[in-house]
Amino acid sequence: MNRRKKTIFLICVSIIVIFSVFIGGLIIPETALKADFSIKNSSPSLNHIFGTDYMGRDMFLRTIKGMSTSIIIGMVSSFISVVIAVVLGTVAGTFSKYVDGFVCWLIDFVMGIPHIILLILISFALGRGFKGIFIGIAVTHWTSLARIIRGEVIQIKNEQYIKISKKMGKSKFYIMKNHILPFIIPQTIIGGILLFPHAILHEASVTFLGFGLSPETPAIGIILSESMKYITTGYWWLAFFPGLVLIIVVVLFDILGENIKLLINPYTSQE
Amino acid sequence: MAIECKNITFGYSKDNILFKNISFSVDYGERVGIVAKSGFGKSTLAKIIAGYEKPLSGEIIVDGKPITKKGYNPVQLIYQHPEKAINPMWKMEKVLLEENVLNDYIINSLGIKKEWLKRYPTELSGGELQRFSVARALCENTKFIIADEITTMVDPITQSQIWHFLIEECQKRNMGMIIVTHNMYLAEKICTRIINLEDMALE
Ligand SMILES: Nc1ncnc2c1ncn2[C@@H]1O[C@H](COP(=O)(O)OP(=O)(O)OP(=O)(O)O)[C@@H](O)[C@H]1O
Ligand SMILES: [Mg+2]
Repeated sequence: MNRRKKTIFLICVSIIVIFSVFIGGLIIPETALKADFSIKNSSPSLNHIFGTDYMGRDMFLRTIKGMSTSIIIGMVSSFISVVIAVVLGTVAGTFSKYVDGFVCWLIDFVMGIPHIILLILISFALGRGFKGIFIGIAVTHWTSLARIIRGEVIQIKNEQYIKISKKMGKSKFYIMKNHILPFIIPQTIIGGILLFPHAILHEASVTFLGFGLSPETPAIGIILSESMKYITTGYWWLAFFPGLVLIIVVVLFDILGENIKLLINPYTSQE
Repeated sequence: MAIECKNITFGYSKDNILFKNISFSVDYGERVGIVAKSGFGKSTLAKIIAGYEKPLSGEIIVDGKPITKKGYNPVQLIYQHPEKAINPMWKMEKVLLEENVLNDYIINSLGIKKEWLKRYPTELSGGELQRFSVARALCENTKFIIADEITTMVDPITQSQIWHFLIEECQKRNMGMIIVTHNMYLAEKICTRIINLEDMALE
C-alpha cells in the first residue's frame, strides 16, 4: 500500500465511523431509552454491550445518541468559527494597516482569555442550552485559524499575478473573491475539521461542569457527569465506555484532518 | 510626448543606488529598445514605469499626468518570468477571460492552441505561458506595452511569431512600446529607437 492509498483509506474509515455514529444517534428513538428498573445497573453483557445505568437504560444507545448530539454541536460551532476566521483573516490581510491592527488585537485579546472561562460565561449569559454552547464555542475557537488565514493572505498578496490584477484595474473585492479565497479554501477546510475535536471536547467539559446543556439532553457531557456520581460504587462501565467513544471520535476527527492535509498539500499528495 | 520618465533615481535601499537621473520619453507608435548590462536595473526600471515600484525621486508622466494608482493602468508590463505572472490555480481560459481577451483573433495570431485553454499553468511550457501574458497585456485599454525580455525562453520561430503580432497590433492601435532586451540583434530589428542606459548614466 503506498502512502496515498493509505491516506485515502484512513480518510474513508474515519468518515464511515463518524457518519455511522451520527446517523445511528439520529435514528435511535427516545422510546429505546425508556427506563426499565428491572435491569438497572447491569454490567456489560451480550444484550447490553455497554451495560445499563441506574434507570436500566442501555448505555450503548445512550452513548451513541449523546455522541451524535455532540457531533451536531461540533459541526455547527466549527462552521461558525470558520466563517468568523475566514472573514476576519481575509479582511485583516486585505485592507489597511488599521484594520489589520484591530483584528490582530482582537485575536490576541480572545486568545488571552482561557477558553473554558469565556465559554462558561457566554453559555451562562445566553441561558444554558444549544444556543449558548454554539455561540460560546464559535466565539472562542476562531482565533488560531484566523491568524493562519491572515498570514496566507499577506503572503499571497505579494504574488506578481495579484499585483498585475491590481494594475489591470481590478477591485479589492474582485481580487479577494477570485485570487485570494480559492487559495485559502484548502487551509480552511483542514482548519475546520481540526477544530471539530476541540469543539466537541469543550462542549463535553462545559456540560460536564454543569454550565452547558440541560440534564435532559442526551449529550456525552451529561452522561459522563452523571456517571461520576456512580463511579465510587463500582459501576465502572458507566463512565468507561462513553469516555472511550468520545476519545475515539475525537481521534478520528484528528486523523481525518491530518490525512486530508496530506492529500491537499501538493508536495505530499502524490507520494 | 506620451510617456515621460523625468530624472528617475532608484535603489532598493537608500544607500545602494541602482541608477540616477534617468530621463527619456516614448511617444505613441514608437518602439524604444532599452539596453544595458545584466544587473544594471532594466527590469527594475520597467517596474517603475509600469507603476509597480516607486522611484526614490523623479516621476513618470503619462499623457501629461502622473500615473494613477487606481483603475486600469494604460501602461502594461509583460514580465520576464510568466510562471510568476499567472495564478497557478486558474485554468488558462480564465486568465484570458480576466482581461476579456479570449477571442479567436488574438489566440490564433499568438499560436495559442485551443487545448491549452483547459489546462493549468503548470501544464504548459514557459514559452507557451508567455503567449498568454502577451495576450493578457493586449486588453483594449492598453496604450503602452513594456516587454521585459519576453522572448528569451522561446525558439526563433515562436519569437518571430510573437514579435510580428505585437508589432502589428501596436501599429494598428497606435500603441507605444518599450522593449527591454540583451539581444542587440533583436533590438535593431524591431525597435524604432534604442536607448543605452549605461551611456545615459555616464552623462
Ligand atoms: N526586490 C529586490 N530587492 C533588492 N534588490 C533587488 C530586487 N530586485 C532586484 N534587485 C537587484 O537590483 C539589481 C538590478 O536588478 P534587475 O532585475 O533590474 O536587473 P536587470 O538589468 O533586469 O538584469 P537582467 O538583464 O539580468 O535581467 C540587481 O543587482 C538585483 O540583485
Ligand atoms: Mg531583467
